[in-house]
Amino acid sequence: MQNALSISELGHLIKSTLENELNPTYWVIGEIADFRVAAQGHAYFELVEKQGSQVLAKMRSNCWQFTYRTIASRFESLTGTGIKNGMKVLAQVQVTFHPVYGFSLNVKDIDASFSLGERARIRQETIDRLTKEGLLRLNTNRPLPTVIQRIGIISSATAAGYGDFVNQLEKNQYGYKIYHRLFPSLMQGNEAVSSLIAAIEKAENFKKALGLEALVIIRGGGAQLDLDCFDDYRLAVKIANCDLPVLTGIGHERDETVADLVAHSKLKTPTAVAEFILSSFRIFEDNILLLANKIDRITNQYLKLAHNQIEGVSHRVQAIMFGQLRLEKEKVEHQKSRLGRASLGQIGHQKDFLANLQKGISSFSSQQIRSENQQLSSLEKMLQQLDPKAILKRGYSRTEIGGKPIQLADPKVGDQITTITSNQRIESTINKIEKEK
Amino acid sequence: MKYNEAIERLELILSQLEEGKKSVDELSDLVKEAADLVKFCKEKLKNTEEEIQKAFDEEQG
Repeated sequence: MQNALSISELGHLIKSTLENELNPTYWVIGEIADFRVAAQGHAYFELVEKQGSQVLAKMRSNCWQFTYRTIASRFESLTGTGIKNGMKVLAQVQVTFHPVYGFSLNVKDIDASFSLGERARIRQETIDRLTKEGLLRLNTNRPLPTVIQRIGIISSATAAGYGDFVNQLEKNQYGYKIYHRLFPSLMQGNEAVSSLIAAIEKAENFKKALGLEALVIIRGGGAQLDLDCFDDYRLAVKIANCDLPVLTGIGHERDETVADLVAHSKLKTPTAVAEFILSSFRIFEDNILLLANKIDRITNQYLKLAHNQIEGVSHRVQAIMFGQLRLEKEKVEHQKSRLGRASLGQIGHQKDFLANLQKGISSFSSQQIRSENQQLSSLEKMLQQLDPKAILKRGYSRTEIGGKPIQLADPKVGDQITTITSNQRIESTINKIEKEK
Repeated sequence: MKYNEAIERLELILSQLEEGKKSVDELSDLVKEAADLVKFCKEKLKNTEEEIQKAFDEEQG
């Protein structure tokens, strides 16, 4: 019988055997479980190998503070996520045995690119599965209204991204009114997937009552870490089957998440989602303006056409009218000259008539004047013959007594008488008077 | 006075003169009246003629 060893002796034996027999380090593949970081900064977790749900192997692992800090920061910068449970890692480990704490793996390094590839593989598997199940493009069939006016928001009330998003919607420069209702959810961590699914279900239940037209999943703000929940198959199925078209604005710079792929429309950030919603208003408004302009243009064309037609018709009417007018004018002109001729003829007639009258009057009057003249001259002649002077000249004389003709006086002897001859006045005295019988 | 009245009066004067029964004093008055009437009628005809001419000229212009 061998000498019995003390526990510590055995411990040392195991330790030295392990150190002698095993390589200083091994690269192993395992899934992280029970991960925790202690107060001093050391990380403690299990590395597990599973087949389905059955655990094939499980080893206690640790990573000391300094190493862990280096590994973790490199890992995060490359994969965009921290080391956490469920993650499959390629780790460089040293197998150690401590007499008190027993067997454990001390992690010297973790190959981040393996995890990246692993995650990509899992992601690809999820995508393949969703594709096979016809879920990948399912949500894109949900009709997204031309103008998105009522939305449900899946986010965390405290997320900066949410505040910015709401702010951007409400204070848009165009004054568009968008109804929004938050369905709060955890956006990271182990509970995120269940919380997101519950929030989406709640939103679906409110769809009718609130008249929701789209669902917006926004994250944004804070760390770029912990996007894994958005690659989750269950969440992807929920989004794909969602009654509402889903818009994502998860806010990350690396590859699209699976949630982005199944969503109706994927935007980079909450800001981009807000812009997308606002642009639906703007595009609609622009279209209306465009249509209005088009209507305006077409109307103007029609008006111009009509105007031209009217112009043409008016020209023709004018031409016809002028022709007609010219014809009428010629007629009038003709009538006028006839009228002129006729009326002037009438005047001529009247002139002739008047001239005849005048001639008649003047001839008759001069004729009468002539006969009067003749009478007058015979009278004159007679008068001339009766002139006393003419009688005196023939040798007769006239005798007066006291200026009276002698035949009218009563002559007495001794009376003075005056005898008048053609060229003499003879004074005599009556000597004798004899009366004639 | 109207043109026709004037003409009628002239015709009457003419017929009176044709009869040759008027005295010289009356004759003088009648001839003087006839001359005035002829002058009036001529004036009237001339004016009418001018008016006609003018009316149709205006129409043309």
